[in-house]
Amino acid sequence: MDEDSETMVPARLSLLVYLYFARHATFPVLQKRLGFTSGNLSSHLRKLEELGLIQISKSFVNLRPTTFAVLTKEGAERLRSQMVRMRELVSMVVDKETKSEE
Amino acid sequence: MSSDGNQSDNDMVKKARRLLLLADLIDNYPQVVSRRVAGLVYILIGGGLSFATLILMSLQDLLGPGDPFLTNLGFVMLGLVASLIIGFRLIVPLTRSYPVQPSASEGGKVVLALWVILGTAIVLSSIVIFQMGLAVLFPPTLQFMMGCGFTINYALGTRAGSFNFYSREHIYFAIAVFLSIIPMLVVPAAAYVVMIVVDMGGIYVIGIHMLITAEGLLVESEGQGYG
Repeated sequence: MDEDSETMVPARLSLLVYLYFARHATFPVLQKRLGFTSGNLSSHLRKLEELGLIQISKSFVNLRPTTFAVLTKEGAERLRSQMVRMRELVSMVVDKETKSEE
Repeated sequence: MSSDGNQSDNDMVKKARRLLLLADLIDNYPQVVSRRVAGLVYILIGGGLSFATLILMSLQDLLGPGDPFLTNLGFVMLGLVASLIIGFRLIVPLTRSYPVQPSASEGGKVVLALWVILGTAIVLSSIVIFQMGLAVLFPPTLQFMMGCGFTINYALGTRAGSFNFYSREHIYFAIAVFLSIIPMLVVPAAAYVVMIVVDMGGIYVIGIHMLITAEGLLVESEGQGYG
């Protein structure tokens, strides 16, 4: 439950969803696509790495040091199970709204 | 205030539907990955068999035709084993990051068992056919077993509910393989050419089609009635 609350933070969820489909991304790409500040992004990535949901590695691209973030298998499984649970809850609410409108 | 409230509720419902769609996309994505990987493995198998055919035919030119049974067995085993080793070492690990549902992986085990049995049947029937001196029956027999294999693949897939994965390419290929038996029996001299064109061509077509249509599984998610 505590771990769910750590990953359901919107910023971290958006990171996980992006990496789920992209598999891996560099720091500048994540910053640009998701609209994070540099410090904010670093903090969220560090937290996700602590939780074992992503792996961070650093290497040189065109002689410039670059940080790569890769989703782990555990990260993919956790995101998928959370989204499936969320889907069940939200579709109950949507169905209820639709019925009340009728 | 009431209309503002309704507007806000409508916005929330729209956001909720978008969230449902995202959840569907995430839920279906492992199947997309599996389909892409399967397409790549098919192309690799086609490539491996083509390469093995080239090597063996070149060797036959240099060393003479040799024993037809051993030549055919060598062609099939070399190509398949090399392709599968490369495929499973390099490509299949891509699916580990996106684990499929347990029922789908159980279905995969059944299909693997099916092909192990068919492979064994192919080898045993080859031994019998060549021992009896009926080499002309080898290509049609092989085609019949391949056709059965792909038909059962398709049937098991539809039954298991992983229909999106075992889609119609497999049954179309099975039909093409069964139909190719006719020219093989009518013109036995062209049997191997027919087999190479139909089987190799079919494997490439299936692989390429699975690759380029993999994301179609995500498009189907959008029509799930939430949007």
